[in-house]
Amino acid sequence: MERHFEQQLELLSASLQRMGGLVEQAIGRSVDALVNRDESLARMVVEDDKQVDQLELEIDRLIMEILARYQLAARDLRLVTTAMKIAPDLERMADHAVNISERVIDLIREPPLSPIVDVRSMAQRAQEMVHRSLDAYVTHDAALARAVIRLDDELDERMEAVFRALLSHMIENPATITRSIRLTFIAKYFERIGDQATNVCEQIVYMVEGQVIKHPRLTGAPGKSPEDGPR
Amino acid sequence: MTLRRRLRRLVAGTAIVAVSVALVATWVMARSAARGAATERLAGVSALLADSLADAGPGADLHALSDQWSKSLQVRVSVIDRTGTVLADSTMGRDNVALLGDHDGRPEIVDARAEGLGTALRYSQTLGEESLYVARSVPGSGGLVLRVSLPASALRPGRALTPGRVIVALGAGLVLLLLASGWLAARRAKPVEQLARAARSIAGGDLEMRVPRGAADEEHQRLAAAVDRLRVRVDDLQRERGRDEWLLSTIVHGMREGLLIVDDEQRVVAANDALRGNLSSGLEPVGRLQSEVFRHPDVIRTIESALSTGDEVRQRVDDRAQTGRVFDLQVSPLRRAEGEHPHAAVALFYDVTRLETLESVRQTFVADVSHELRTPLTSIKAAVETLQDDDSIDRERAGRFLEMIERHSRRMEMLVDDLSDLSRIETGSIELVAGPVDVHALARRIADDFSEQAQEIGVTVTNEVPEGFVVHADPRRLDQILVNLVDNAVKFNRPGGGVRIRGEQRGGEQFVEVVDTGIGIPSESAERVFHRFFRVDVARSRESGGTGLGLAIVKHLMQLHGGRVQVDSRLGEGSRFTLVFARQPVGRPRGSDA
Repeated sequence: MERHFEQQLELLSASLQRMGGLVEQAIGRSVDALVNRDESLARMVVEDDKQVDQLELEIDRLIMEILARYQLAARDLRLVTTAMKIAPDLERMADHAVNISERVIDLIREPPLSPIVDVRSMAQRAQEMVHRSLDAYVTHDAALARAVIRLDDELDERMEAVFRALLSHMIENPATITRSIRLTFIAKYFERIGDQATNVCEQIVYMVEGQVIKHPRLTGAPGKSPEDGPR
Repeated sequence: MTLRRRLRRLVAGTAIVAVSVALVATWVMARSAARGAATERLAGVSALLADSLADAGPGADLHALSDQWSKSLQVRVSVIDRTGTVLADSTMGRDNVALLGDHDGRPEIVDARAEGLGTALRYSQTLGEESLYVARSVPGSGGLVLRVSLPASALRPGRALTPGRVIVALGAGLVLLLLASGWLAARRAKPVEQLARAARSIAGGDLEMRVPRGAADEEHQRLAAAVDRLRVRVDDLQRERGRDEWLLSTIVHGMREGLLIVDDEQRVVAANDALRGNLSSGLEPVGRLQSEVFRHPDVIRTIESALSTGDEVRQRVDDRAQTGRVFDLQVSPLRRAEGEHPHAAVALFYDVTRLETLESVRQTFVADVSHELRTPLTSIKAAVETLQDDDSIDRERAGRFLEMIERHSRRMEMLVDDLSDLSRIETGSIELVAGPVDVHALARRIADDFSEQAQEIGVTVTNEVPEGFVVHADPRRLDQILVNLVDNAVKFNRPGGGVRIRGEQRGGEQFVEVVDTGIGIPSESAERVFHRFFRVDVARSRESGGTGLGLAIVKHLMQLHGGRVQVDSRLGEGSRFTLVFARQPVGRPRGSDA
């Protein structure tokens, strides 16, 4: 019984990591597709999203089974509820990767835009956040999770810079407005991915330390200042 | 039970049984001997008394006679008549003899009447104890029987042989035997115990110990020798195993390929250092599920598929996003027996990052070369076609086309020359003939050579190398390097600009610089200018007749000299290319190989 429970928990953790791996790959591919103007890579991201959805369903089922069968307390309960909250965040990241890839497919049929350089660096930063948040989950490293949360501010700043660059580009070259708007969307998706990585990291801190750090205004926890970007 | 105790018990038990048997036998024999002697004596006595009774005749006082005989012979004397009535008895006396019952049925009396003599050992009602009786018929007395008897208590086997003394003597013997048995047992058991201790130590891992061989018995010595052979064998096996383990661990941890073994439940059983180095999370992989250890979906899927299908699987894993590497992953299932389901799988991660990079470099190079060659070829082909098709072409136009053909052929020739030069430099198939080179003189000649070409675009080339500045280099190659640099500096300059050739000695190194006031290089391209076919400004470079290989040649030539070239540039302000020579001369001395 006890052994079985341990196995279930382990399986849950492994499945979540597996989902994380798929999400990370999808984001990485969408970044590469954007940078290298690689349409086949972008289509691969759209194709593979099914696997992520499938895994999310499996994880849901596993969590329900664990909750129904065992009386969980303290750390185990945090482990399971964390998984329950992280899985939808991961699934949404994968959806964003799909959205990005779809925009990329449209974009690469047209000549490149110069502000793409800034979007690239933003994309790489978001990708790094996802990578590190998954590392923090695997190693139960609350300090690393907090470090990732701090990276989000920088990502938001970069997002602002991209917006300004694209705006002035549109004013100067009205012919590029369609492309610029597509690129704006892409930047916004990467910013959302960063937000979701932040959510995941907040859950990790809760899982490891039992401390709630989201919504600092309500919980009184030392966290991000309230005027930070949209949630 | 220990051998020692068992031996002791065996010897002691035997001794006790033997002593007990001896005790009983001695007693029985002594008693029967005593009885025999008593019976004989009583028989003699009875014969004498019967004769005396016969002599005494019928009127004798039987009571007086029996009392007298009893006293003198220390036996009980009775006289019984024909009917069995006791006429006289020394024990009962004259007054009480009537109390004795009829003795007709007593076995000794019956025997005496029948055979003249009867003996019996039986319980006596009169005396209340066991007694030996001897009866004899008295001749000529009309059936009288004379009987003498002794109580059994008087039949003791002799005064010295009391049961107490026998027991003491035998007890003493027994104690001696027990002591002897203890000593004997200890003596016999000691070598076996020593061997047992030795075997225990061997089992406990002490393989250096000496196995005792002190025992005198051949069996013990053989056993000791066998135990010692066992020790040596165990020692050898242990050493062999240690060596094998060391070898295996050296191979596994020394190999550059990441190695991982998972069991059929996908749990990691073993991993080497190379593999650990490729895990971004830094988790200890052993004991975890492989899907926990790896995050790359392709890795997880490949290992799963090898275990479930039982087939060897190969998969290219592009992990550039996380670890910056590309792996060729090979997973082989392991089976205990043919046809069985795999119980484990070995995953090998070959790092093919470098291979793939080289491959892409090669592909790019081939594409670049064909592109570079196609451009002049297209022009030549177009010129030739025009000349062929247009019969009415005038001399002047034909001359222009021929000139075009010549120019582009020259360009192709230059390109092919540069390519073969670069290839020879890169493969190291050219030999430097190094010696001291007067850089001041060399720079002056180059400045002169370029002066005409420079003047056309309003650029001045100045030689600022101090006189007597000497570096150790191959003069022909140094000339090639400087010509390449100065050529670029002049071409990518602006009217009214300048090119300076400088020389300087700083620290342990010598620097030769070509500084221009030209268009400069954007900082992100600064390192790439040394790549083959890299051009900062494609149009301008072609127009000025460059092959795109000059700086690559410079870089490789400097490497061949044991030096290096570096660039320092500002867009719009100019560039500075610096040749750095180590002070130690590099290459063969002049004249050793020509």
